[in-house]
Parts: sequence; C-alpha cells; structure tokens
Amino acid sequence: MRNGEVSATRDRERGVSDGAAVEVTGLTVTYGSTTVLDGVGLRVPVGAVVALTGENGVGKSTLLRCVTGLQAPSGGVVTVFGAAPDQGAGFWRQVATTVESPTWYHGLTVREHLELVRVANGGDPADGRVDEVSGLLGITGLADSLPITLSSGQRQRFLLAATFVRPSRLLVLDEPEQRLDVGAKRALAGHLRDYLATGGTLLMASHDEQFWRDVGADEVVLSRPEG
Amino acid sequence: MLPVTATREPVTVPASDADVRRRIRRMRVAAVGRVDPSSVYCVLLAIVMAGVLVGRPLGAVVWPAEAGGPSVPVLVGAALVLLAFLNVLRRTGPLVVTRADATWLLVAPVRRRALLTPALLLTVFTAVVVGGLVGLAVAGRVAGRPAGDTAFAAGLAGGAAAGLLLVLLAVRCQQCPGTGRVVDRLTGAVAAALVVGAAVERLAGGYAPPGAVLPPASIVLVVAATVLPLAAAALVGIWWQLDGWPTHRIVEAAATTGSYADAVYAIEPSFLAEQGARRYWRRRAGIRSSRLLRARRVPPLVAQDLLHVARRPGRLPWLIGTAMVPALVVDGPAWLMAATVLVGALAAASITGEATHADASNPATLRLLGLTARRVYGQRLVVPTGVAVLWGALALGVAQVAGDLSGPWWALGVAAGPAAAVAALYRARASASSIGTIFIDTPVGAFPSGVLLWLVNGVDVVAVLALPTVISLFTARAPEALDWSAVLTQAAVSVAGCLVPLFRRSTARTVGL
Repeated sequence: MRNGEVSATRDRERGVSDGAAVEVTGLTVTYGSTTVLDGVGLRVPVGAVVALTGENGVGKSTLLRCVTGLQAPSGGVVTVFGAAPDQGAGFWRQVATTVESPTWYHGLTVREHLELVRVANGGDPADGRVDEVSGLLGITGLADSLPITLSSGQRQRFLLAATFVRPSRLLVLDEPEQRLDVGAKRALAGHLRDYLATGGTLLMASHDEQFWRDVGADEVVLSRPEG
Repeated sequence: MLPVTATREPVTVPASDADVRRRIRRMRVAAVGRVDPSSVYCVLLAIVMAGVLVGRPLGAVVWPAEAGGPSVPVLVGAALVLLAFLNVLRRTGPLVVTRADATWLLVAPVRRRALLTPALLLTVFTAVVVGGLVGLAVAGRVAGRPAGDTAFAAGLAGGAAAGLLLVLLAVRCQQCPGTGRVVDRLTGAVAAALVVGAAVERLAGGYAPPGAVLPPASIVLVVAATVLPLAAAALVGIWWQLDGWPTHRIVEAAATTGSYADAVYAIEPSFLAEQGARRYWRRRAGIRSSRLLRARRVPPLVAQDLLHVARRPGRLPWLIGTAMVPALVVDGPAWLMAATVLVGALAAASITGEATHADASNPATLRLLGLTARRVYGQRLVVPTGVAVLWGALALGVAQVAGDLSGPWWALGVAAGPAAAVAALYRARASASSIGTIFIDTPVGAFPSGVLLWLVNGVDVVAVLALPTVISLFTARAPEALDWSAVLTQAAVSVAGCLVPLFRRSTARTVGL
C-alpha cells in the first residue's frame, strides 16, 4: 500500500481493537526547498503493526520523528492515541522509541541503565524482566560494561533492550534490525510479535523485508514526492 | 568504467618523507594559498607586543628584585606548575599528530618518525622553556642578592632538566596506559597534598624552611649537567624508536587533541569537559553493577549520582584540597575570600554535572525514563547539595581556624551548600553555544558572547543565592562575630532557591530540563 491507510479489516480479523494509535493526515515536511513528505496519510489502529518501507531519503525516519513529536511538520496533523504528540511525561510513558539515540550516562553499566529505565518507569527491576530482555538480545554478558565501550551492534541491542524493559503502548522503531545478526533479528521479531499479542502497537521503518514479514507487519511504501 | 581491483602486492618501499612533505605542502598551498607576508608581519608584531606588554611583569614574577628565601608557598607553587605541565602533556599525548594526518598519513606507508618528530621537538622545547622558567622563579626567590651567574644557571638548568624528565615520564605513560593511570592518580594526590600542606602551614602560623632545604647552586648545576645529557640521550632513543610507536596510541592522542582544537575553534568549553569524561570512562575498568538501583531505597537518579561519585574517587583529594584554599586567603581581601568560597562551592557541587549536561543537551534518555522535569530536578539536586554542604562546612570551618573569624562559620557553609547545588545545576545545563549567540565585534574579528557568559554562568546564580554568606564575609570580620541570624537567612534563601523551579507548573508535566 502506498502512503495510505493500513487495512482496518485485516486488523480487526487479528483482534485489533477499535481506535487509532497513530493517525497522520496530510503530513508535509520540507527541508528548505526540498519536500520530503508531501501530504502523507497514515492510520495505525491500536494493536496493529506497520512497517514503513522505501528507498533511502523518502522520509521514513522523518515520519517517525513527526509521530513522536520530535519534529514539527511543515503541514498536516498527527495524533497519537487521539492527542497531538507532545513532550509531556504522560506521552512518553505510552510511547517508546528508538528514533533518537540517547546519551547514555557515564559511569553507569549496561545493567544499571536497564534497571534505571525500569525503576524510573515504575517497574520492579528485580522481577526478571531485565534478565529476560538482556537474554533475548544477547547482552547478558555485557551487564557490567560501560556503554561507551560497546560496539555499534551492541549499542543497537542495548538501545532496544532499554526500550523494551519499560512499559509502553506504542513502539516507534527506526530500522530496529540494523546492525543485528541473523539470530538476533529472529529473536527480535519473536519479541515484537509477543509485544503485539499483549495489545501493543508497533510502527517501524525497515529495509529488511524478511524481518518485517516475520513480525507480521503491514507494509506502507513511502515514495519520493513527484517534482 | 575501470574495474575496481585489489593491489596484487603491497608496496615494499615506503614513500620518501621528502616526497610526502612536498606533496602535502603543495596540497595545502592549493587549498589555503601561500603564507601571506602580512600574516607573518602580524604574528611577529603580536609576539613583540606581547613581549613588551607582559615581559616586564613576567620578569618580575620570575626574578623579583629582592629574594625572600625559600618559603612553603614558593616551593608548593613551583611543584604545582610542574605537575600542571605534566597533566597537560598527559592530556595532549604528548606524541601526537593532527587528526588529518592520523586519518590519511598514519595508515599510509609513511615513516612514523617523520610524522612524530615535530611533536617530539615541540614537547621538548616547551618542557625546556616551562621547566627553565620555573627553575629561574625558584632560584630568583632563594638566591641572595646580588645573585651570581651560578645561581642563575643552576635555576635554568635544573628547571630544564626537571622539564625533560617530565617529558620522559609523559612519553612512558603514553606507551603504557597502566603506568599512566598510576601517574595520573599520584599527580592528583600529590597536588592535593601540596595544597593541603600549604593550608596546614598557614594554620600553624607559617613556617620558614631552613635555607638549606634546597641544595646549593653548584650542586644543582652539577646534577643538572649530569641529568640533561642523560635525558637528551633517552629522548634521542625515543626518537629513534618512533617508527615502532603503536598506531592506536597516536590515533587516540590525535582524537583527543583534535577535540581540544574543536573546542578552541568553536569556542565551546563544554567539549573539553565531555572529552575528558569520555576519556576517563573509556579507560575505567573493574566496575561491577551495583545493587543500589535494584534495591530502590533511594530515587533512581539519586542512586545514579551516588554511583557516579563513588566511581570517581580521584576527585576526593581535589575536593579536600580546594576546601583548604579559603583558609589560605582568609586574611586577604574580603572579595578574594568571597570569590574563593563561591567558585569553590560551585565547583564542588558540579561533581555530578556530567549527567545533567547530558540530559540537557540530549533529553532522549529522560524521555526513555518518562520522568517529569520536576522529578529530575528534585532528584538531581540531592547529591550536589550533600557534597556542597560538606565542602562549605569544611572550607569555612578551616578558614575560621586559620583566620580572624569567629562565630558559627561552619554552619554558614552548610547553609550555603544548597545554593551552590542549584547554581551547579544551572551551570551544568548550559553550553557556551546555547547561552550566547550574540557576536561581539572586536578589532581582531567577531567573538561569540557565549564563552564569556559560560564563564560566569552559575557564578551569577550562586552569587545571588549566597548573598548572605558574601555579606557576612565582608562584614563579620574581627572584632565582629558571625551571628546565627546570618546562617538562618542564608538557609532560607538557599531553600527558596531550590524551590523556585519546582513551582513552575510546566515542570510537573514536561520531560527534560
């Protein structure tokens, strides 16, 4: 489907509840004289999973940034769970994203970062969730490492782990499969399916067709605006 | 299109140094043009003007008209300058190439010796100049008047020899990171011990070391004459082995000095702090995950700050050392005492500034944590307040013992602690580029105001919130005693300063600082 709405019929068949998690109408983003997104519409029902695809530079990450409120669009309307995305704590308790890379705290180990995220979001760091996610993403052995010493692939796993140890209703992931090996991608796809099964909604950008098909995502192809 | 091919055989003969230099020179000329004679004239004129302007005062500092004999401040000051020079050498390499050379020439078949020789020569030259000046400054205060040529030569040669030994030590540290870590810790501990020693000497009412604390000039000259050739031989040995110098050490030093150059070019001092922090934590080993966060006995960001402080124990000697400084100036002008207390308390409270700066420059982590600005602010205030309270109590308590102060000064230090913590948070949040985008026109070009504002950022806040303390430092001098009402006033102002940001409605809702 090109720049359009996700099929609500198919979503309802999968047990998706009514209502939109994300609704984008007439979204336009321009950088100077370059128009990246031109009147894009997108509807992601609650419980659905959508993969934005398309060649480099068509505006996948830009669309995700607009959905998370990290970038103001030049035109159009974006709502997340019926309200405009904002910088309030209430919004960020529902939405978890890897669109932006956090600056990890110096001197805090990988394990301590995950526990910090879990505690700050009101979770119990000793309930096994941190261990489970660390095992899933293969970073258990990095528990005592400082983030500054991690490789780019390990950082990607760490960022995903930090995103998964906290509760959320909507995951906005920018190429979550990048820099992951085949086994990790498979484990990640399984985890995302579990997330959806528990009622979560997923909007992601991806270049890996096998991966987003494994997750069970509906594809929305973005293309470069004409002219 | 030509097919992409792999080189069948590696080049066995390295490019000649002369060819490489000639090619680089041509490329630079093509890029930026030849050196303009007017630029050379301006540089020479600037050097001459600097010599005229600061030559005489510098001469008076290095070689005063009258010698007061050896004293603790002179010896401590000389040692601190040499330790600071060693620190600079450690931070800059000392064997380093530019980032561009590290990227293009280090990985090319070019001889390392040719690349690193300029850095070695510059380091040796600087060490001889700095060491020689320090040696002269000591000799100028110790040698009786009229001082003979022997005293002059001994100061110069002894200082130069000390400078070269520091270069050898720094190069050794660059080769062996383990040795480097030990030397860095020792340098910090010795510097703090020297400051504490100077403060104790002050508390004890002054101590005049015997004239024989330093060896006679003739002996210094003989020792220097022995050390200098040996150090020179060792440096030649290092130069000879430069071809085998490990690449990763040079790349690391190039990245570090490159970021220093960025900080200077962008006039953004926070780059330096960030670079220093990255360097420290990249090398920090032996950390085990703590159970402090898992236990949930303290709020998460307080736990994080506590872990951060506990994992940088090398700062403790500096904290104690700086707390002694007010005792050294307690009998000096009141403005100097006030400035020392304010800046010292601000520096002590800035001990957890890295995390606050990271949160302010990139709030992505706070969004991940889902914490409101109010909760972040409240939690981030706890540890700096504790540190500043202890520092203030120690600084003003010791100053009272050392000087002519009476009354509950230690309590005033405690009361001023939260004010310093609030100011430290303000300071940590800002970078020079974020607080001053206005350019000031100067005869030598436009200059961004950010760096000037950054220098006083936080100091202005602590100056306002610690006004009762400042007023007391000006007025409650002997025979007047400090009154408890001043302490209570300071406590009230400090608490008010802490609470003001919490009353902003937006802080209860938004993420970020």
